[in-house]
Amino acid sequence: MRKASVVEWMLARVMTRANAASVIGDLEEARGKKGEMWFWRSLFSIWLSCGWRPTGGYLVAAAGGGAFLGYFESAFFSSMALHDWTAAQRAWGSSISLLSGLTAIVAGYCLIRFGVRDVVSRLALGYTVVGAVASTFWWRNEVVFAAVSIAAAIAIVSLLTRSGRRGFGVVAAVTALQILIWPILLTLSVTAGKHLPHSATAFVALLSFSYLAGAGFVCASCGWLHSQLIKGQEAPAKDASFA
Amino acid sequence: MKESPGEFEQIVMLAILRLGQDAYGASIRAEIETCTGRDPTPGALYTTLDRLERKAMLSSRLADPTAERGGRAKRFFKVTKTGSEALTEAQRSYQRLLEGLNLLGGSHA
Repeated sequence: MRKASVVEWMLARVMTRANAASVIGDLEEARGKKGEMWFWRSLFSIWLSCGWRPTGGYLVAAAGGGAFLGYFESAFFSSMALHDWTAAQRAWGSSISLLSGLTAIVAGYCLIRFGVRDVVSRLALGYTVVGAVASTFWWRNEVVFAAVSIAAAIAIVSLLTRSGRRGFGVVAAVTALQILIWPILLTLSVTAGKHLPHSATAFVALLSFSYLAGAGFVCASCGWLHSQLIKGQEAPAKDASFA
Repeated sequence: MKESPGEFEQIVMLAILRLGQDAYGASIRAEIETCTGRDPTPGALYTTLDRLERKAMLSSRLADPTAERGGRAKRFFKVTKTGSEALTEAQRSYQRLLEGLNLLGGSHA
């Protein structure tokens, strides 16, 4: 079996392994004629063109999603001093603000990675917006009730079509995954932090690393699930040119 | 509403149609360069090929690996019925816009 080269491995990070091999084969054909400089420039250009979306999606998800999560949660808890709240409101408000932050991470990644027309991007963005409104006005029961109703309506409408069901499945699965992994990562970081020398900087660095690694895992899972559930839905292509 | 291919997408599809069964990355690039005098960047070409395939305007198949490419297979492309229809419609739009203009003759009568 042929051994994959380093350049092929590099390209396989942003496309399938089979496609990476065929692209390198194409470049190799012209390498002798066009030179080494052209080969590496072309390789970089392809890598950049194919790889900026996953990379950009991760950066937006990590930075934007984290900022949203922090904003929703801090806005919720800080506003609690200004309003009378019940235990139910506190539970709902906290859960909604948390879920909005988690869907914001999915939305940030998918909007860059798959574009605004993508069903997962739209669903995640919709839930983030609805959750943001509910988190901001958590003390107004009618707003929270309306937000929950809209969220339920979005779910019901999306379940009516095949693509909607799959899109909803991706958003739900990635959100559920986050509910599972973030507490684990936080617990691991705090446990590991106890073994660090007493330095706030080291602990913050450890937390940041955990967050970035977690966001990477979430984005990779989202990309994988998307490729499994959404990509195969396109209409079957009929050949015309070689008929 | 049917999606209309962009200018470069049309160029790529036309090059594939011209090449027939020999349309793969390197030959498509060479055909575009020969016909238009422009050398497309490989990054733009491969992302366009992938995008057109996602839009179901192109389909591709991997051939058997060959020794002259270091054991790497060629990925051959062909224009699908969807792609052919979209390309024809886009070209008709250009034709309608060109009607009454004598651009190829050099005057704008």
